[in-house]
Amino acid sequence: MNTTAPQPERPAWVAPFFHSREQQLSSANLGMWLFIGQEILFFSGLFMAYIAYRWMYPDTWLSAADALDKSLGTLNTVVLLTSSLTMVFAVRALQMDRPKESIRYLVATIGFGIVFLGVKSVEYAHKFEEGILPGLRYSADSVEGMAGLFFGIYFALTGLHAVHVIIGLGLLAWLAFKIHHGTVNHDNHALAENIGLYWHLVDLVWIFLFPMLYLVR
Amino acid sequence: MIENNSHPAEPSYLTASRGIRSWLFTVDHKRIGVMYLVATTLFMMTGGILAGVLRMELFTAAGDLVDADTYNRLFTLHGAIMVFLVIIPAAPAVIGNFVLPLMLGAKDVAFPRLNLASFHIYMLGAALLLVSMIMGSFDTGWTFYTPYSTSTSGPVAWALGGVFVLGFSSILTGLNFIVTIHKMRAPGMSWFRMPLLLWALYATSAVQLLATPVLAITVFLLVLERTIGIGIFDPNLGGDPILFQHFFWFYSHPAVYIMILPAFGIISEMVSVHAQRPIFGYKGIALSSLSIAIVGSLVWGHHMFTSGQSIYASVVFSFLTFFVAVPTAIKVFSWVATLYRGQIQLSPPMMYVFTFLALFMIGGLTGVVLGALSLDVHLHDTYFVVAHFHYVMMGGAIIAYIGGLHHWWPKIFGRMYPKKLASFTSILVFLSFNMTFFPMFLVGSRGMPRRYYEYIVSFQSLNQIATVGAVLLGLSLFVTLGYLVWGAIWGPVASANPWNGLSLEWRTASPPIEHNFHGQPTVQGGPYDYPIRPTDLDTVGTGVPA
Amino acid sequence: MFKADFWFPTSVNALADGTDDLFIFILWVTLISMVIVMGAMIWFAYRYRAGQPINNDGPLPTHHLGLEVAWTLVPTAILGVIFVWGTRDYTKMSIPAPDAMEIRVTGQKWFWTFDYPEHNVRIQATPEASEQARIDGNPVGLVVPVNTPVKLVGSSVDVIHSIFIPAFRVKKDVLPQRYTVSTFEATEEGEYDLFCAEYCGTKHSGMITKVSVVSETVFAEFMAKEQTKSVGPADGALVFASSGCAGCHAITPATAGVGPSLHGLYGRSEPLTDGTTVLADENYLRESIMKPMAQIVEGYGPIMPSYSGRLNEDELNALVLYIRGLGRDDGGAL
Repeated sequence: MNTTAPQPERPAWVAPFFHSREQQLSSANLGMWLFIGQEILFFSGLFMAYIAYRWMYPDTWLSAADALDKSLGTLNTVVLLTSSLTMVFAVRALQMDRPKESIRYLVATIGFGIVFLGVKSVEYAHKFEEGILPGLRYSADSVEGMAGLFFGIYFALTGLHAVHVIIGLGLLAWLAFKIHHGTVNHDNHALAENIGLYWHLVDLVWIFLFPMLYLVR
Repeated sequence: MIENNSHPAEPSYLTASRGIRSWLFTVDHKRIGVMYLVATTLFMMTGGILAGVLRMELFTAAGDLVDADTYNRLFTLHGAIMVFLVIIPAAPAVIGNFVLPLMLGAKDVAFPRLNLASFHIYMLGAALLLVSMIMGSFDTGWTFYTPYSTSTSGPVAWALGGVFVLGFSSILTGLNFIVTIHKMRAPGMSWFRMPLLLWALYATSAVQLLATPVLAITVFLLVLERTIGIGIFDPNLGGDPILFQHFFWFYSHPAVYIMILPAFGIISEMVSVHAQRPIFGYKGIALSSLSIAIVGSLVWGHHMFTSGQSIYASVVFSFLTFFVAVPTAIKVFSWVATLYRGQIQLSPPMMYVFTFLALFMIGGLTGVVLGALSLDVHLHDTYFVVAHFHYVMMGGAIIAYIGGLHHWWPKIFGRMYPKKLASFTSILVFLSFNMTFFPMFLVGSRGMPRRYYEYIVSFQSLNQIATVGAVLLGLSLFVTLGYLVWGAIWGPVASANPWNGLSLEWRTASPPIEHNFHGQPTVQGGPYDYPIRPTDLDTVGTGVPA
Repeated sequence: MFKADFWFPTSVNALADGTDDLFIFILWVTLISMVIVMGAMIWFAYRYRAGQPINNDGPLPTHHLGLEVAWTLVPTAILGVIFVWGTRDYTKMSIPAPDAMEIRVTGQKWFWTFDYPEHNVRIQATPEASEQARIDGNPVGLVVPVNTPVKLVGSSVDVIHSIFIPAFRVKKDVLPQRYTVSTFEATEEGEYDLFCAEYCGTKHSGMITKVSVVSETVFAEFMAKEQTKSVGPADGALVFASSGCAGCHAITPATAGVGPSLHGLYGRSEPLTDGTTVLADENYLRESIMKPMAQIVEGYGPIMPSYSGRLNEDELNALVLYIRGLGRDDGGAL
């Protein structure tokens, strides 16, 4: 194989150990799906704990879910779902070779992500005021039963999720940057798709968290 | 041979660039493999020295060498280092990294920078464990059972942080290998033409990818419990310590398959090449790797038969445990059948195959003993278990790994070690291994619990035999390390294919050039199409211009 | 090497009688398999060593359906046998007789405490106490009568420990905030080791005592002697009275009350507010006292305060025992 000059149908951004752009793109895609798979396994540990303890202490779960602010939770769900929509548009705009539009949608996604975190901070602040803290530090009396346990799981789940949102925001900003510089474009778009997948995962985890924590009946 | 003389100008991967930065920032899978080799060897020596101190203490029934707390920290560290820093990474990250792309006919893995990141993450995890050691170390056992691990003093959170980080390294390596095997096989290499090491690494990678995150969340929750009191395992809050055990073993049982599956793959390669025979039962071996990965993810409760879990759960786990023994047995029989009508060299890799078969059979069959509910009640948490897992993890996984190093050493370094010395030393390893660990079956069944700093005097003479064996084992491994290092630096130059292997890594120079192959090799047959005479190899289309 | 007593201490537990035979069976299976496999390996290594004239009897075999089926089915069958055998023996060993003598075992760092509720005796098996017992000519550690089914109900006050009695083939973890059960019936008098088998800290290997199996007469005498002098376990009725339980819970078969009547509660299936039912066993009683909000009986509200922190392990055990006996004339044995 001629290694001195790139082949005309082989863009410069394709790494030397790949045959073709197709091989690179499909590898990136498979890799990202596998990564998402393991993220799901990561959260599933906490989901299992939730299931185990809910089965053991159903009354606590009922009482505790009432202490959570359903309207804020619903607001956050809408915000995150919308952000997934803007993310889809961002990727699509890039694929249609409209980088500026793509960046605008990314900025919107980041904005929604920040709103989500803002609402979460408000919720957390309320709870800390009332003495609703995780585990042994639980000191409020609004929830009966194994409240400390429920809120341990609540803070672990939502906290871990929030960390993933923050990481997502960083990735989105980085992506916007790269599109701005042209290194990610309608031809070399794997990074955008993959970060989109990540953001959708973050959304998906919340779609499970919300009813599990807030809507227990 | 084909490659060595065709492009004399191109340097090997070892000398293509120089300087420490060219190694620390390399994206070449072969250099990354070598760095892992150095690191795991260092950690294995550390873990081995710790074991040596333990055995010294156990030479006498009374605690007279170190105090109880020190002893407890030593066995904890020995376990944590050996499991997380040595055995889990060794075969995938050392041999897998080096050999996998070559065997596939690829120029690298799918994500070389991620591969480098895996290495640095691994070193970071090791550093965190080191920090916890410097801060006075911890004594929870490598299993971190609660409530002990959440209530004992010491830098447990640092160690748990180290484990968390190490898990990431493992996950990313697994991810990399799966994508590489799916997407970067050489033209003509269908799934069932892949060498069995690749099937093994594929199954291993699937387990690494899917089981390790559960360890990550478990360890994360422990850290939360120790630092900010989110106690989901704390009985005072309504939490359940047995839930911790379920979480922990859900990963840690599949972890042992991460350790042994690559070993099985290595044995398949070595037995075929060193008997110059096609492997017997290729499909059986390939598919059994997958079934072991799957069924092995369902048996974790066999570590918990006496934990207070329900009888029904125990019965189910016992049943599944016996299930997973069947594919393993199929492999052992297939390997022995591969020897039939072969041309068997008593080369060091073949000696390690024999050693593996003997030690792994003992280890595996004692696993059957432990899977039986009635027997496990007595044997759980005794030295019988310690002996069992050392036979499978050390006598199985590590022996196969060392054998693999012997098999691919000339490929990695381009030089050969002293073969007769190596074959002879393997016998010493075998004998001293048995001397060390076989007595442990006996003291265990006679009632000696594990993690015991002091023990009753009636167990002393068997313990003394074990200690002497351990010293001899340590010495033979030291000799092994010595001649391997000597061979890598000063040994006679090796040819591209000293063992007459047929898989693609043997079609390129020893050591390979940086980009592995000149051009893209193609494959027209399976990797075990013996009998083929050396001169025929050139005509088995490689797609490589002569 | 093929007899059980090479590998195991002599078994003196009637319930574990014969369990060693499975081990010997597996030992034989191991030996035979190793002979076959290692034998084949060594034979082939010799017979087909490199340099032998190449055998041209056709292509090298890579499959043999009959062989592969055989070496799949035969191990499966043998493993099946082992599984069934092990499970059967296990159920025999694990299920206590209904009339078993109950002894409460409490593990803590780093000694065992044995309470005999029927005799109001407590033995704290610390090294000092055991030494004293020897000086006094008393049986040491966990004292049990020969040929009597015994049920050990264990818990821990701190971390997980495990009661391990090799000669009885008994092992069971003890955990905080719950009970686990093991059982045996000792067939020979003597002294047997009792170890802790779950790592619990500095003196894990020192958490050792003995099981002293004595004749029924000696046992009765010993119990009588100990009753008068040792700090017995708390009196459940006293704890019930001083904790104010009667304020909400009747001990007669009453129907209404702030809390459910405790008469005949033990062993009953209680309906809960979430629609499920629960068996009122020791763990349920214990949980109801320590975490009353966890499961609330149907028709009652979440009112009961928790006694966590107000009762020590001793008092809690006594209370559970007392409640067990309410409305039953057999002392509450399940």
